[in-house]
Amino acid sequence: MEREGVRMADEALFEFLHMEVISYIFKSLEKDDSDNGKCTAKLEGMGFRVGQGLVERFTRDIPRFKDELDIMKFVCKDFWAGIFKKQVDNLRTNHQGVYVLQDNRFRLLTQISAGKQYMEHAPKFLAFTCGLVRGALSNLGVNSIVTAEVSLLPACKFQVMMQRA
Amino acid sequence: MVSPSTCNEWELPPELCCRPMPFVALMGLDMIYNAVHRAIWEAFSANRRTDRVPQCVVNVLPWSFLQRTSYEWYIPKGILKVGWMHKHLNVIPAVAVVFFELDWDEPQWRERQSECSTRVEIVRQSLQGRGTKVAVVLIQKKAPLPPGEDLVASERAATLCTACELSAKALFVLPHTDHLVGYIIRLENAFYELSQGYYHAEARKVKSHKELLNRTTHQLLFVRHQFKIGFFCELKQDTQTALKHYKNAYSHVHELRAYDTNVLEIKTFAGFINYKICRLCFQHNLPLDAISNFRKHVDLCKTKSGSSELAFEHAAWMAKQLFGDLFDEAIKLGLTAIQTQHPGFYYQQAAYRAQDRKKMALQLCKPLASVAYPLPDPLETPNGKLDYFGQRPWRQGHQSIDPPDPAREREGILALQWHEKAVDHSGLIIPLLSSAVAQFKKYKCPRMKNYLSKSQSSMGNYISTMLFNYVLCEYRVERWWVILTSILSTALKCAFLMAQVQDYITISMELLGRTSTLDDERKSVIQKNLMKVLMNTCPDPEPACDEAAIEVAKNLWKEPGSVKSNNVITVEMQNYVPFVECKAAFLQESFSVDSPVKFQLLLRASCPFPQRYSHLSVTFNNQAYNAHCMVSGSCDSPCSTEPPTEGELCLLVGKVQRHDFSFVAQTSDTGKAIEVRAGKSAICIIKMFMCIQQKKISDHNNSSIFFRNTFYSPMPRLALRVEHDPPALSFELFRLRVCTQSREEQPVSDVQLTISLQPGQDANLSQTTHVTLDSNVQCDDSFPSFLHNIPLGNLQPGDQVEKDVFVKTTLVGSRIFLISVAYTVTAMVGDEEHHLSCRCQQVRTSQNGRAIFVTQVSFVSLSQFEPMTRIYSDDPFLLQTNILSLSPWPITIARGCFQLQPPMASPDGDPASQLKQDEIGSDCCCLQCPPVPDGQSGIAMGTYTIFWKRFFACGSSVLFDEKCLLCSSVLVFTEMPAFGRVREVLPVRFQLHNRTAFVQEVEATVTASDAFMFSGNKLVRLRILPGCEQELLYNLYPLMLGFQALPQLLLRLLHFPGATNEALHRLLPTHIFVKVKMF
Amino acid sequence: MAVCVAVITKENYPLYISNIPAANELKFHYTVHTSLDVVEEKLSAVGKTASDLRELYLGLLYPTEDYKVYGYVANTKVKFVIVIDSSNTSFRDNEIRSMFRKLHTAYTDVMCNPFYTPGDPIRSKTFDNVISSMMMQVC
Repeated sequence: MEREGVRMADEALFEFLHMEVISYIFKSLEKDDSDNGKCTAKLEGMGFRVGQGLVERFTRDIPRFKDELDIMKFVCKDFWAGIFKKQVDNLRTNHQGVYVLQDNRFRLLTQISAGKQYMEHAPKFLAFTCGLVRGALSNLGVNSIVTAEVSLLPACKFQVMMQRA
Repeated sequence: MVSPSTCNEWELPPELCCRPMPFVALMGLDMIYNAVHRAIWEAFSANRRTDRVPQCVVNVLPWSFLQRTSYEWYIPKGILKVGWMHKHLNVIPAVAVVFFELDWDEPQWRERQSECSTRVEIVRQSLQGRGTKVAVVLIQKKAPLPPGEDLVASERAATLCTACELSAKALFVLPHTDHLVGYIIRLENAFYELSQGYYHAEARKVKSHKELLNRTTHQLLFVRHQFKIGFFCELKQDTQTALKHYKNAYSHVHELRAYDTNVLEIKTFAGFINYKICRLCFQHNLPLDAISNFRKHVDLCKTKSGSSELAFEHAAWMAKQLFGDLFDEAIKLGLTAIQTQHPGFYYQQAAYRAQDRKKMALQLCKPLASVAYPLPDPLETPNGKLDYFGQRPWRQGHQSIDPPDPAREREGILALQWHEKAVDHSGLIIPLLSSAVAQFKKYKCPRMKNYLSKSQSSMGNYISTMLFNYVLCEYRVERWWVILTSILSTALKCAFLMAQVQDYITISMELLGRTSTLDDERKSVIQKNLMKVLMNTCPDPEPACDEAAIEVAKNLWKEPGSVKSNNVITVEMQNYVPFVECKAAFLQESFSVDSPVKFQLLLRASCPFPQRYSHLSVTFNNQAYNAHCMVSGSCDSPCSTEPPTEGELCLLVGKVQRHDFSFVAQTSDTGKAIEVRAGKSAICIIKMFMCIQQKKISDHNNSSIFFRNTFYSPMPRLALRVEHDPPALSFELFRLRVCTQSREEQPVSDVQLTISLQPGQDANLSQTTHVTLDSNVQCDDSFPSFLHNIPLGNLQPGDQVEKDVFVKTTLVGSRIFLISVAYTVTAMVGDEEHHLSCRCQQVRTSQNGRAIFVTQVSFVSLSQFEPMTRIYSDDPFLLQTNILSLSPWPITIARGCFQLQPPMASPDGDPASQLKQDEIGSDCCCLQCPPVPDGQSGIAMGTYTIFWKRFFACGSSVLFDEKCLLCSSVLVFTEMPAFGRVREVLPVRFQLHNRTAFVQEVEATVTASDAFMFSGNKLVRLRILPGCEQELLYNLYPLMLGFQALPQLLLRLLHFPGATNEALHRLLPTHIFVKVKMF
Repeated sequence: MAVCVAVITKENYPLYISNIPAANELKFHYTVHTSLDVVEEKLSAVGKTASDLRELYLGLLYPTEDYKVYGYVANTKVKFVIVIDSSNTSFRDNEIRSMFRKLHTAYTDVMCNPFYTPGDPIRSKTFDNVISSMMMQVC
């Protein structure tokens, strides 16, 4: 695990940008009386497009995937490391198209003080990443639904449900 | 046989394509009058399975063969004579067999022998010195004796051989007995050997000429000889050597100098040899060799196109190399092909060549219309056939560089062109393409197949456009618009030429669409044409059409049947991307019944000119709404390309047109979804009203894009609240109080309450959940799990009504109830008054069934209060229940009650409850089980019911576990005081009961104990009769104070060794308390 | 060098097809389209056979009389097809491979361009330049 001081400036930039995007989107919609759902959907959509592009680049130099599990392993390792500078801590599956990715110290939540106090704000910090994963998988030819769940900051779980046609 | 047309038809001669087999001629068999002869012949010819030697057997009746032609070939005139292969396959036999009926004991032996030798002589003469082997078969009536025993036979055989000038090996005997087939097969093998000898000799003979040849003048002969040797080897069934010689021949062919006059001959023959080589390679399971050979062959011959006036000949020759057929045949014999290497490619290649041929033929033969067919026919030959393969009929055998007679040459070419003109090229191409299609389908190339199907269907101009539809669909699905547009353009041409209005309109509409890759100029032509068709005139001809065909088409368009008979044309658009695109949307996800439904329709045209339309309508699943969404406008000049005037309905290029509709939904549709129909009714209809002078177009644009559900119900204005005291306890009557308050501005009537389990939960819940309105009844299993339409009466605005519903659950677990209230209210929508019946107000109540008690049941032995895992018959024990309340509220326990299952019984009569209100209590009763019949190991004990109440009296039961019941053989009861005193006599009496039906012998011992002295038998043997008892009396004398171990009584049943102590000793006291002596 | 370069989506519709001479557009469309048969067949074999193809470069798809068709499929199932004139025999497999790498890189850049909507036909000058450099190299 990295220590705060060692991080490169550009890594911090991503975090700042991410936070700014969230606050921008939530503020811009506050005037209308629309609900949070619209904001998270917007964030998710942004993540989707970014995921699509990133995965194109990340998979450029690696051998062809054998199967779905191979793809999920890639998401947990290379993809995660490329964005969050660490791998997913735990990947579990029921072998029927449901995968749970557990990150014990999710980078985009580390800036929020640990504990239960800000739990209600956690979902908006996860929407972008959900989209990111969904976009990556979609471009790899797997349609899925990605949801996130926080039980104790900064740990979180992403659940990926494959949608079979 | 070989006709002059062979060189035009480009077919390989059949004698080349067949598999050469040794030719054996049978003679002297009378098939008509002699049954024996017929049987022999049938045995030879019928049932030629693969396990028999390959042989071509022919029955020859005349005693002669074809006259041999003179053999002057020192100045070679060609590569190979046309008749040569045929001659060796079907005319000159390798073995000539003479059948003759002659027994060894023939009385007129001499006469018959000379008759036989005469016949052989005739055959020899007719063969005229050829090396054909002659054999004689004697058909005999008697079975032969073992060789060497029949002296007459061997002697006569020798004389016969001499008379016929035969070697002994060429004389056979065929006894006409039961084993005819067996003999025939042996004969066959013998003939086969003879034939091999013959062909071997023939090949050597050809080979021996080699020394006489020189490179300059006899080049043709190098080819011919190698080919002949190869062919003989093949006849000999030696395919390896044959392949070698064919390959030699092939390389010699390409050493020949090729010029316009002989290139056809070279190519023809190269094709022959190549065919042989490929075929043999496949036969030897060397498909890669075959393929590379063929590739090489094509490459070598590609350039040898010959004279430019006959360029189509070259293409025809290329198309006729039959490699696809060979490959396919090899696959049928077990070869496996792969996706990138299979016969389809070669069929495809052949088809392309054939297409090239068609193109060239069209080009080269065009000017023929003005020229007459040359006379005398240059293609006629004196004897009606060619001498050599691949030569020109008008200059056979001529081998110089320049044609001998230029004028004759020109006539010959002209004649060939005439013939070419008559060829049905499409008839040649289509089978090749369909073969290719079939192959590509087989090797999983759907797209290639598609492509070829397309080529196939575009072969003729006059094939119905319907043929295209399947192919088009594939390209449309995969969105290859360039390809789609190109095919559509072809299809449009067809539709024009055939004057098919429906197709013409459909295709035009798709070509005008967004996905078409045509440029604007072309699109505007198409749109103008489309308008012309709608105006009932002939459209302008498509580009690149034949002049004559255009004239025909124009007449077709003028025919009355084409347009006028059906003035409404319906075009199914759901599969196409039409030029008018349409999108529809409801403005909200759902609408309340008392507010209008808003619906929006967006239209966009992608055609170059404004498109007018007269009528627009929308189809809903409830047809009543259709009338609300209609637009009609004046349409005076439907086909003008000018911008629209006021009041006209017109789609402008690139602009989105919006139509807003709004209508009030019907109350009967409350809660339902309305949808705009897609699918079948998504039709683009073009109506042409012929009765009026001017035609109107109406675009019914319900494209298949939208499929939006609208869910509408009025906002609920009835507050529903459920009061209850969770969690509910299982078995209790749990009260749900439903409070309904009206917030409607109007009085509501007919309020009805419904309670039921929410669907989607465990199906068994409905069996363990019971609902009632009456708290005084015993709510048992007969009560349902739901109550529908409990009337609550009418409510004035602001009124509130309460209703109690009782729920009982018999199984622990949570349940979700749906509680809903339906009511009727009168509401105003717009100006209308609607009686709305609203079924809404769904409140979910989750109810937690909870266990109230934990009841532990334990079985305890009476003597030692130790838990028992099994019970013994007639042996009283204690049953103890411990009740722990888990209820969050105090509950009152009325009583506990044991319900015993017979034969369980209490020795004290009915057990009465001793449990009163307490949080933890225990209940206990003494039980005894009488002996039960053997073989029953487990026994049901009964249930324990606790009657308790929170608000309403309830009872819950616990079922005891089944226990293992054992029969004890001997029971021991101990009778002794409750305590002893030091140094005071303590009498202990053991009573032994025999419970079995047998006499029991018991050995009783008492162990010594430091704490007691005792009197009585230390070791005694007893005999106890069935059902009787014996008594043992011991007087103990305690020596020490306190809780002391008693001397132990050990019993041993002599008849049941080993099976006693544990069972018996559970009843015996082990300790006793010894008090101080009383003074 | 290359006479036709094509980019095809995972749904098998074309995102980009460029060819020289431009007049033969239709023919190249057909060539590329039919080559997808072989691409799909090769992809379906991945993971099934022991010697499965894990490289993105698929190699020669099929030779026709006039052209050699090569294929490459990215992990995102985007297919690249390069058609080479058969008469040009000087090509080695490695050169084709590096052409595909270049093509893939260029496509990745397009995908990462925020103004590009995935699934739309590619209209990018940079991409055009990369392609034309591939088609120009030798001719």
